[in-house]
Amino acid sequence: MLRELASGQGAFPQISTPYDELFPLVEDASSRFYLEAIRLYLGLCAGTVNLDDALRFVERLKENPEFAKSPCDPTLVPVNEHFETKIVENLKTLKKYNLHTPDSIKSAYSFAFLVEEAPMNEKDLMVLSHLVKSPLAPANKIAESLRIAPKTVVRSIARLKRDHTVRFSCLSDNSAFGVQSVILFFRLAENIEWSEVESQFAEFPFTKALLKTEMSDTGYASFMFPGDDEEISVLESSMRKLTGSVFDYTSMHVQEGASSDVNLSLFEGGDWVLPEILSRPDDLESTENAYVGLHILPCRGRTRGFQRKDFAVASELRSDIRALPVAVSQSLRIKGWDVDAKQVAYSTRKMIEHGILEPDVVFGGLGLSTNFCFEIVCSPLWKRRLVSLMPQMPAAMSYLSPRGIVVWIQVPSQHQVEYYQFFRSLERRRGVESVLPIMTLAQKGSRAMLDLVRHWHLEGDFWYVEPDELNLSAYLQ
Amino acid sequence: MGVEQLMNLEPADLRILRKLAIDPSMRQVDMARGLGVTRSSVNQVWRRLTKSHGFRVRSIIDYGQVGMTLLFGWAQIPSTSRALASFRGWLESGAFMADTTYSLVSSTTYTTVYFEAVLPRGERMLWFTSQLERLCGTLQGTTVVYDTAAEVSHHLNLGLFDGSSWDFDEGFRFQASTGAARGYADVLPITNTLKLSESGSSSMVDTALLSVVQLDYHASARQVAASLRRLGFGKLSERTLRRHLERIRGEWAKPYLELDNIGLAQRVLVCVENNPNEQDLSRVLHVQAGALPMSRVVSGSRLSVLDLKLPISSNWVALSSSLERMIGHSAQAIIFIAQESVTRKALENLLSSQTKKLRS
Repeated sequence: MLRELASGQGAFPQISTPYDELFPLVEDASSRFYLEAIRLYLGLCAGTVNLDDALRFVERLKENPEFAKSPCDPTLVPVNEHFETKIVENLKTLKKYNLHTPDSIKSAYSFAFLVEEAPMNEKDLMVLSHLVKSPLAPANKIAESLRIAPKTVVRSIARLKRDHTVRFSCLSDNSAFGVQSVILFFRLAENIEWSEVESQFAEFPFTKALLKTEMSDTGYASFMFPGDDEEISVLESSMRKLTGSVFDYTSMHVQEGASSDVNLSLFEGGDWVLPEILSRPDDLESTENAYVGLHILPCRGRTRGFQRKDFAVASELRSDIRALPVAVSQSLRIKGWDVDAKQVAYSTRKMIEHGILEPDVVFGGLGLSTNFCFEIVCSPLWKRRLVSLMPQMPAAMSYLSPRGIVVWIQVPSQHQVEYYQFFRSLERRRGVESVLPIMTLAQKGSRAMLDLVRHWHLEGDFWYVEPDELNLSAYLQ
Repeated sequence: MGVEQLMNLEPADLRILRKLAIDPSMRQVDMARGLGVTRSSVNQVWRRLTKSHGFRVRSIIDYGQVGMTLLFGWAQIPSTSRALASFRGWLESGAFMADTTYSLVSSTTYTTVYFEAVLPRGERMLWFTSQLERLCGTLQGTTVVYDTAAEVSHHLNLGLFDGSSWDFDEGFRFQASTGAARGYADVLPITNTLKLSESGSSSMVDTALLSVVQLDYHASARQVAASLRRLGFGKLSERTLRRHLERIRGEWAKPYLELDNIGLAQRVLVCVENNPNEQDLSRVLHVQAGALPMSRVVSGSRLSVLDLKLPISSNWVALSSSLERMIGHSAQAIIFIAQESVTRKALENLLSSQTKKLRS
C-alpha cells in the first residue's frame, strides 16, 4: 500500500508498516534515504507492499545521492524474522535515545542486516554443497543426485536463501560489452575528511562501490564505464594529480579477470578446519601450474554479438542467476528495459556458453563471519600462485589486474589471525611488493551495473563516455 | 589466539560471582550472609573457581601514593622493517616494563606495540622517556605516543554471561547508548575506577605492601609478612601490617575480579588519542566499558586505552566501527586484535628485580 506524504515533505510515496510510530521525523535527504529503505523492508515483511511496487520504490531510492555511498536495496535482503526483529529493535533504540542524526539512522539500517548464525541442517548443507559445485542445477537433478525428494530440495533452497542469506550470483566479463572495471585503493592524506571525499566519490558518475571502514584511512573505490585505454589513462592521470593532496597512497587496478570460490571440504563435522597450505606456506611456490583450468573468468575484450540488452540481463542475473526469465523480464521492465522472458532465457544461455557469465554462490553464514580484503601488488608469477590458492580458502573472490590481485576472503572468526597473518606475511616474499589489509563488514553492497548506465551516452548500438568525463580530480578537490 | 578456553559456570558459581562483581571487596563471610548460605559452601565454590577458572580478587593500585607513575603508550612501526625487532628488543628487556603487547590483526600495514611501564617519578622517568623518543627517532617510519595514567578501571559484566555463552550487542545498541552517554558525560556515575595520585611518599615497605594487595586484595597479614620477607624487608608485626593493609585497601587500591576460561579468547585494544578539548571522551570510555564482557581502561590527559576481552565469535569489526563512530572527529583511534601480553609484570615482579639489583 503506497500513499503520498503530506505536502511539505515532497510527493515521496510512503509505505505503511506496523511500526509507523517508531519512525523519527527527519528533514535531511540522507536520513530519509535510510528510513525509507527500512520502511520498504518492513513493508515487504508485513506484506503491505508487493514486489513490483517495491522494485519501483527502489528505483526512486536510487535517485537519492546517498545511494552511491551505500547502495542498499532492501528487495535483495531475505524477508525473515531475524532481520525484521533487528530492524524494529534498532528503530526502538533510535526512539529511546532520541537519535535523529544521519549517522545514527544509517547505523540503525546497516547494523540490522549483519548476518548472524542460524544452524544449518544436514540436508540443507548437502544441497548447498551441490549448488556450490553447480549453481544452476535444477531442483530435480539435485534431488536425483542426493536421493531425496525434489520438494525437499525446493524447500531447502528457500531456507538457504531466507535463513542463510545464500545468493545465486555470477561473475561477468563486462569487457565483452566494451565496459571497463577499475578499482582504486587509496589512503587519505592527513587532515582530509572521509565524509567529504565520500560525497565527492558519490558524485562521480562512474563510482560502483566504496569501501572504507572507520578503522583505517585506507579504502577503495571501484568504477565502471564504457571505454578503452584512452579513458583509463585519463582516470589514471587524474588519480596521479590527487596523490599528494587528497591521498597519500593510490594504487589502481584495471580488471583483467576474476574468480569466485567456495571450499566446503574444509567444513568438517559442523566446524571449519584450516587448509594445509596455511601450515606449509612454502608450498605456494610450487602451485603456479595449478592455474590452468581454474574457474577464472578472464576479460577477453569486446565480443561480437553481445548487445546492450545482454548487458542489462547480465546486470539482473548478478542479483539472482536462478531467477525465472519472466521475473528478470519484469524487473527489467520496471527499470525501463523491454526484454521479454524468451529473450532473457536466450541471452542467459548465450552468455554462459560464451564464458561471459560464470555462475557462483555467495553466502554470509555457516560460521564465516570474518571478512578481509587484501590488495596484493605482485609479479605475474605470484599472481598465478595466489589465484591458485583461492580454491583452498573457505570462501574467496579475486580480481586480477596487471598490478597484482585483489582478494576478498570470508573466514571463521576462530581462524582470523591465522589467515590474516598468512596473507600479510606474503609481503616478505620476493616478487610481492605489498599486501594492504582492509577489514570489512560483509553487508556493504555496490551499485548494480544498470544503475551506472544512465550516465553513459548512446552511439549506434552501444554506449560511450567522453574521456574527459573520467577526470576524477574534477570531483575530488 | 591465547590459551583461554570455555569451562562452563554452574548457576551457584554465577550467583556468587555476580554478587562479587558488584562489590569485589566482599569477604566470604559477608557473601554467605548476603546469599543466605553457609560460609563453607561459599568457600567451597571460591576454591573450586580458583582452581578451574584462575579466580582471584586483584586490585588496581595507586602507584602515585608510593612515588611511582604508570606510563602507557603505543608505537606504530612498519611491520616488515628491522625497526620492529629493534624496538621489541629494547622494550622487552626494560626493567620497568609492566606490559607489552603487539597487534595481530589490524587494518594498517603497521604493527602497533602497546606498552605500560611503572617508573619512579623524577629522573628515572625522564631518562626512560628520553630513551624512548631517541630510539623511535632513529627507527624509520616509526611514531610513538605516551602519557601518564590518571585513572584506571576494570570491568567484568557477568550479567551478559549465562555460564556457557555471552550475549551482548557490539553493534547498534552499543553505539547508540555510547553516543547518548557523550551528551551527559560529566554527570555519569563512575564505578570501578581508581584515580592515581600525582604525589606521594616513596616508602619501600608501603610499596611492597601495595604490591601484595595488587595480586590479592584479601591477602592476610600473615601472607603479607611472608611476601615482605621474600622481598628482603625486615619483619613487621602482624598487628602493624593489618593497620597498614587497612589503609592501603581503603585508599590506595580498588578491587576487581580476575577470571579465566570463560570463553573470552579475543583481545582487542582500542588506543585513543584525545583532542585535549574533549576531556569527556575518556570518562565515557570508563563508563561504557562496563557494557562489554571484560575490559580495562587506562586514561591520561591525552591518551586512553580500552583493553577488551571478547568472545571469539563476536564481531570486533562491528564493535570497532561503533567505537570509531562514537569517538568521531574529536579523537584518533587505533583498533586491533592484540596478542596476549609478551611482558606482564605486577609491581611485585618489578620490585623484586629492582631489589635484586640494589643488593648486587
